[in-house]
Amino acid sequence: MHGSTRACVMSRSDPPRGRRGALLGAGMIALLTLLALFGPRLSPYAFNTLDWRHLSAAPSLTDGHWLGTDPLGRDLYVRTLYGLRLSLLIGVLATAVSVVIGVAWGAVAGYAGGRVDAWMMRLVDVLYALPYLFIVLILATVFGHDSITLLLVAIGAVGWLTLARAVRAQTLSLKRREFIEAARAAGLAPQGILLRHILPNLAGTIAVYATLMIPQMITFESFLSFLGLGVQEPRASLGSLIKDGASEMLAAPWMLLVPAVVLVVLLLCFNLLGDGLRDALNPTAR
Amino acid sequence: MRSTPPRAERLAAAPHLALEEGNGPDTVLAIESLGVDFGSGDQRLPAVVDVSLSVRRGECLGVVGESGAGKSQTFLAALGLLSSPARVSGRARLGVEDLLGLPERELDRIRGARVGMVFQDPMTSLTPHMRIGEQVAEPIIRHLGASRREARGRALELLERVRLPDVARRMRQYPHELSGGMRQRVMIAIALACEPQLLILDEPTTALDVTLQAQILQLLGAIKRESGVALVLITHDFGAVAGLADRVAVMRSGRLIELGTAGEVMKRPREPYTRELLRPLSGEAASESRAAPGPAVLELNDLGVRFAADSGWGRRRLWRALDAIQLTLGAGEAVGVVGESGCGKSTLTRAALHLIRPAEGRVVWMGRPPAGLPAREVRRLRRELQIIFQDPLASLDPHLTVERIVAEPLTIHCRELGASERRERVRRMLERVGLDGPFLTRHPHELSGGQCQRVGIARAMILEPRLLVCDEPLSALDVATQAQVLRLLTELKSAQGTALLYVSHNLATVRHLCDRVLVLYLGRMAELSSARRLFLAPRHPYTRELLAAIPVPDPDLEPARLAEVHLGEPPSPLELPSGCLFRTRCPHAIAVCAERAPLWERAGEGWVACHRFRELGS
Amino acid sequence: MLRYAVRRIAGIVPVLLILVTVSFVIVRLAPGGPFDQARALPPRIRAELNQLYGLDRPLAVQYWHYLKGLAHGDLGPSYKLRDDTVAELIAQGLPVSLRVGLGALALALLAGVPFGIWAALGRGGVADYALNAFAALALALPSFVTGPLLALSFGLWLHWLPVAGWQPGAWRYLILPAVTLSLPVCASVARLMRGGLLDVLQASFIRTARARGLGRWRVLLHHAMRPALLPVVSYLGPAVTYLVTGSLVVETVFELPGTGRYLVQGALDRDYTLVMGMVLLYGTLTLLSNLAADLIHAWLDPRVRHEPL
Repeated sequence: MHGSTRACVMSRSDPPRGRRGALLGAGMIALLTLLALFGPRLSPYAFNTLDWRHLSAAPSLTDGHWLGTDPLGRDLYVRTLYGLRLSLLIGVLATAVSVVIGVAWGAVAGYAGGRVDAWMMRLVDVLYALPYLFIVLILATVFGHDSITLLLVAIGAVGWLTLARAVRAQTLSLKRREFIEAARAAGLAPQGILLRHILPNLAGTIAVYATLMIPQMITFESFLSFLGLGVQEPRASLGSLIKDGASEMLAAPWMLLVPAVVLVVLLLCFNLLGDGLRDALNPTAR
Repeated sequence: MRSTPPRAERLAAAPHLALEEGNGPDTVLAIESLGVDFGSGDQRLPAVVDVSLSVRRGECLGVVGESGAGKSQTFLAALGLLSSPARVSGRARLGVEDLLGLPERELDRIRGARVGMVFQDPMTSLTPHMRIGEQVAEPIIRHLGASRREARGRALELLERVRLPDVARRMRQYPHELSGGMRQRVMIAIALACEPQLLILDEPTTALDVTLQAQILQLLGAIKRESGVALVLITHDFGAVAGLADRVAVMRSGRLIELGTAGEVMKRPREPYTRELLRPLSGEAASESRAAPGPAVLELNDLGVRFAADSGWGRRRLWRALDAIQLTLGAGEAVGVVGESGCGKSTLTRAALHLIRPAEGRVVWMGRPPAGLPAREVRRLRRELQIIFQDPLASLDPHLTVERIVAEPLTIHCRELGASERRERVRRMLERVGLDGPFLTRHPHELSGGQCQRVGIARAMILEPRLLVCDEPLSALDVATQAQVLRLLTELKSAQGTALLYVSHNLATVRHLCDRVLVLYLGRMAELSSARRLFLAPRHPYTRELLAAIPVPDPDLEPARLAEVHLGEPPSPLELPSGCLFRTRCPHAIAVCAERAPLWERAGEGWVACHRFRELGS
Repeated sequence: MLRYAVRRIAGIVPVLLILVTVSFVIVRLAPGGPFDQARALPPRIRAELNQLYGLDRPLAVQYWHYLKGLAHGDLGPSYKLRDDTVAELIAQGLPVSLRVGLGALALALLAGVPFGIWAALGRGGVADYALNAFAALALALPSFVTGPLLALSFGLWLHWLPVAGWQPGAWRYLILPAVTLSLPVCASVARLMRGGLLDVLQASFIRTARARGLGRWRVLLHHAMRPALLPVVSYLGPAVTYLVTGSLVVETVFELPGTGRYLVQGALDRDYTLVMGMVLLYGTLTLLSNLAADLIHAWLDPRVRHEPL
């Protein structure tokens, strides 16, 4: 018989993103982190060992270069894991910088309201309108050589704007909610309201933003390294490995494929986790 | 796949009602054993179970029930407008066709042409980016094949027919530029555009003020008389049905439980549930003889609050949300505050609690003005003044348990209390509002609206404050729950001598609970009087119109009452008239009313602000 | 609407001024100057060069001169590529960069919008799953990964398209760069379109429109589309920012003679005027695209026009 579900254009359920995706993402991230930390010990080579007998060697199980080598004979398995370690570290630290600045800025602006809020957000608007990537790019070209700390700060400084906006908007809407009014009417002091009622209710938003920000930070770091402005030789991040791989891609395609696949899987997992968290915390949003 | 439930089950569902519906030649829509359920597999949720209803030409069928009773779902299902996937069974005949069997394309030829629909929320029911004129013309072009020009002409006529003011200009405006009442008129015009046989009105007045509600009902009455269209009026409020409906159906949890003429159902209800629905609205006596109020708990002296309103292009205009408010509230006294939405009722509650700062005048708590005190001292005084809110769920922090929510005032003001003692006091308080042990560990989203409101009351009462401010505490609750909360408030007032500042648009509950009533109009005081006097003999013309606008759930009285309502749209708070603010809607306005604002004058034991209250008498 | 547009355009000028100032300060704070590196020049010649370009004067004076030049549309000479002025360098590179960027944007919209609509209408169906998988992958693939991979497969292995390089007027050289650049934008557009349409279809005015019997397509095109496009339109600003950044990578990978390479090269060479010129160019582009997005937003949603800035 014809449609019992005549409802309308939409029917059936959403694709199974959400929980399963988030769990898969989280599991994979844990696995990759463990690999980055302990994986290099499994190989007989160090990340800067030059193996003259195997230059640009293809992946092979027999000579111990499981994922091949680069033209200097350095082991790609080890170098990729080191690159992964550095990319993860930079991603997490840069995100932490962003989160601290962004949450503090947004929560204070949102809760203070009025003129303070107007000025604080005006500043964010102006910074937002600047093509920030270029400023960071200039910063990185000018100062960035060999200074991972500066790279971190520069990258972290990009991310906090979005987070500050989101946190402020959320704080504003929380502040208008009646339970905050109830707390004020009950005689709770402003710092008590921020700590006891506003921050706990922001936790979900912050978690989602942070999770989605880590892959952006990793991409950005790789992007800088790809342009030759980030991590410098002999150290390696996934971005610089991809750059090296791209220049050798005809002769030694594994040099491009290995770090590229690791980077893509890493980003995919963080995105899955972030999207899953968002769906779980806010079931009405798609 | 449309499945029909087994016959035995169907008969068991509603045996006494199954065959009552006629099939006469006049029948416009006949719904026969309609069932709707959502979900799939084992988790099927029946929303409508075996409902049979019909409506005849020129007749108005009222469908009454609380939220979730399946009233809207029944008719949405019949017209294929359910918003989520559902299984629909039964039949819905419009003339000779069964709507449930028709493909979408055929249904589109019927919807808007032969059946018009009006939905509850006029704010979101019009397409935001299309001009009013276009939206009215659209179905005319589509169904009647009119040219754009003809359609525009017809749209103009229709909008005049629904008495939209200033039609030519409104046609070019967007929905957000119209008030709620005007948008609902536009919705009705669209529904009438193709001269339908049937008009389905889903809570058409629920989102509107009483004054506007009466006007819309009046308009619907006129349409019914003039055009002979069949009406289905879906509502939770018997008052809205009484003036219009010829027959009334009562639904509960997806089933039809009572059906009869309006007189039968409303005067001699068979079902206890119907009686329950009718009860809280049947006029209750104003509370009698109480002890004189004690010392002043709250004084508002010449209080004024202003808001900055952005009027576009960055120009900021000040808008007087409250002006020259003068009120004293003694211990054990209950004062009601009434008025249309936007009159400053809620602002008054926030200003009284010093949650917003007044621009003029002052607030005094138990003889001490909080404006002059250090912040710490103000917070300490707050333990004596508590508030319960309109939206019970929004007023509870979603990430806390009920225990922590109710304990919060204790943790702020009684730090010396030990954890076990605190828990004990929270438990006792929750028991008093009728919630027992297991609730302690629940979160707000696990509770019903009524339970949330009781948690809110428990939180407000745990410190035994001297003043309890109630901001529309009942409006988000079902009728049955309303009665319970009202009883609880009455009890608190008489047992503990708590003073109540009770804001509501529901005049019946104000009459039940309050000793005195303050009528606000656009942030100004119109009348202050004892509740009894105010309801029996109002002095201000606005108070009279407000009282006249309350629907009476009595089919004998209601039509006559509806005919007498004449309040127009309220002016914009940004463009106030000169002199008396009410004069633009006042049937008794004279020259002097436009010249100067009336004084706040003593009248008997009450007060009133009207130039003509003496000559108009009571 | 017109006044709104004028106000917004006027608002760009101060932001550009801030941008110029900030980048001027950052570039000058860096150690080294344009004539310090590479082959060591004799000190006398270096001093003469510095004097010629006014680099020996106080920073404030240089800043003032630069601003005065800007007011006349003069971006100054390039210190390193001494045959050309900065304006000439931009004029050479911009047509290539614009072609790639606009091509990518057009591709993203033309593919993303229909894809999103298709997925929303067939929610939970094949299209929806396909969009989900495509978006997850495309958003996780940075352009510096897709670029080499596409060049490897379509250029080196399949020989369908040129691997890299540029010949004026040969569109085949533009295909791989434009596709590389557009993939993540396309995924975002499709996702936003799907989400926007699903949200709008739930709205109460859509039910009203259906209750008027307007027919599925009229409801979709006249009532649902405009508000459903709003998230996509809001995304146009960030999308252009992304395209601009991505073009740096794409022009490197595919060896295109666009403007992107000047920025990195200029900064490494301390070629102050070149860097400033590039920052100004890209800054203006970004700001204008944000402005365009806001104006389209206002046109689509009448409520915005009445709100204060």
